[in-house]
Amino acid sequence: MRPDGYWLGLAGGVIVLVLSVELVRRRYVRGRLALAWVVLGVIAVVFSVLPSLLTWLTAALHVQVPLNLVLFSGVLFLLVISMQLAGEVGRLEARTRRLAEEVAILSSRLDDGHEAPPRATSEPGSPPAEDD
Amino acid sequence: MHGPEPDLVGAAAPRRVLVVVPALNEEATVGSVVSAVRATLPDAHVFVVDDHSADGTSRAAAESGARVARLPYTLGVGGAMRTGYRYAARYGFDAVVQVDADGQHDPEHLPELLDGLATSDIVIGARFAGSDPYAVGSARRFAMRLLAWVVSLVVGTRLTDVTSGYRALGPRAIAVFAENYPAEYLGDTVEALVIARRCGLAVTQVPVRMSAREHGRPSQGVLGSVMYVSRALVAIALGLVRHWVVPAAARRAS
Ligand SMILES: Nc1nc2c(ncn2[C@@H]2O[C@H](COP(=O)(O)OP(=O)(O)OP(=O)(O)O)[C@@H](O)[C@H]2O)c(=O)[nH]1
Ligand SMILES: [Mg+2]
Repeated sequence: MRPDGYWLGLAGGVIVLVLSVELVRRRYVRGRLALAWVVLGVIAVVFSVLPSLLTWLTAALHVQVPLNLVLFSGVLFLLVISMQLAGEVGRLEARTRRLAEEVAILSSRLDDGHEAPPRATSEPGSPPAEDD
Repeated sequence: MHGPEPDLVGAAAPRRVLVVVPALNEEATVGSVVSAVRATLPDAHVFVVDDHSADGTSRAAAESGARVARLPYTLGVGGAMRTGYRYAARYGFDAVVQVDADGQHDPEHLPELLDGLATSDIVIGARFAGSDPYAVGSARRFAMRLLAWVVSLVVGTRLTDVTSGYRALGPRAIAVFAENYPAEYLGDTVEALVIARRCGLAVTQVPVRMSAREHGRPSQGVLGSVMYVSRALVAIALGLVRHWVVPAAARRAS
């Protein structure tokens, strides 16, 4: 006798597992983050195959409603992931800033060899040079 | 392998001075600023950092004889200035002076700022210090005073104008700021002073006259000034809690 929503839960767990494995396989996520996603997928499948495990864990942790435990751990997981992403964005920003500064310095040295004043920029989006 | 041969060492050795001019859409004024600086300090190198302006800032600067570095996208004053500090550190300049491209900083004060480096790592060209007619709204004026007071406490020196961009820096300050220079709003002025303090640099000021900008500034009202102070306090707090790398070149020789 399967409890109500068993197949729905199992489908959800399998989708999470397949998506997270796919994320890792295509190298969209790397390193420890990849591990976190695969572990999440496995946990989702285990709990949807064995709903009684959730009931047992809920009691063991003195939580009243199983759903609360699921929501709590879900929110915690998302929080950790988003903090990790925020840190990653900050690091990338610092790196691109450094690259931009280096590019500016290099370009200032390259212009040296030319007699003519540096050409006004002609990349798309910026206005054409004046009186040229 | 970077940098020229070392200059003669000693007090009388000629100092290599880099004047860094951050510029964003200052086509109209940058040329005359560069010319005026070169007239005052004929031996200095003028380095204009064009923060991806949409106008002919780079061209105007180059035509008046400055070396121009154009950033591939707009970074803000902090990013532009750190480009200048990195350039100065890499090519062995002994002093950097920051001069705004909008013509508000009178090059006449450049020698006084540079002289101050004999005893200090950072010399601020400060408004409100002497007989100075710099006119701002009263709310804004109060905000700037309050800020100056807070930063003076943190830095341990009496300063009257901590948001002035008119500054001279010696070798140790160049080494610190080539690594650590925030790109956020007010990071380049207020937070930079906190960083200087945390890295053990000495800060002083000399009084300068500054002309008010011609076109009006939006944030002179009470609300604007409250916002301004709040953001500045955030910048100070960030400067106090962030981790700053003290480069070997900036450690005080015993
Ligand atoms: N690189 C860079 N420079 C900027 C940017 N915004 C302003 N500047 C330059 O920084 C200098 C000072 O800018 P202002 O807008 O005059 O700021 P301020 O002098 O503190 O304020 P005012 O008293 O209103 O003049 C000028 O040389 C500007 O061209 C920016 O986003 N990037
Ligand atoms: Mg200005």
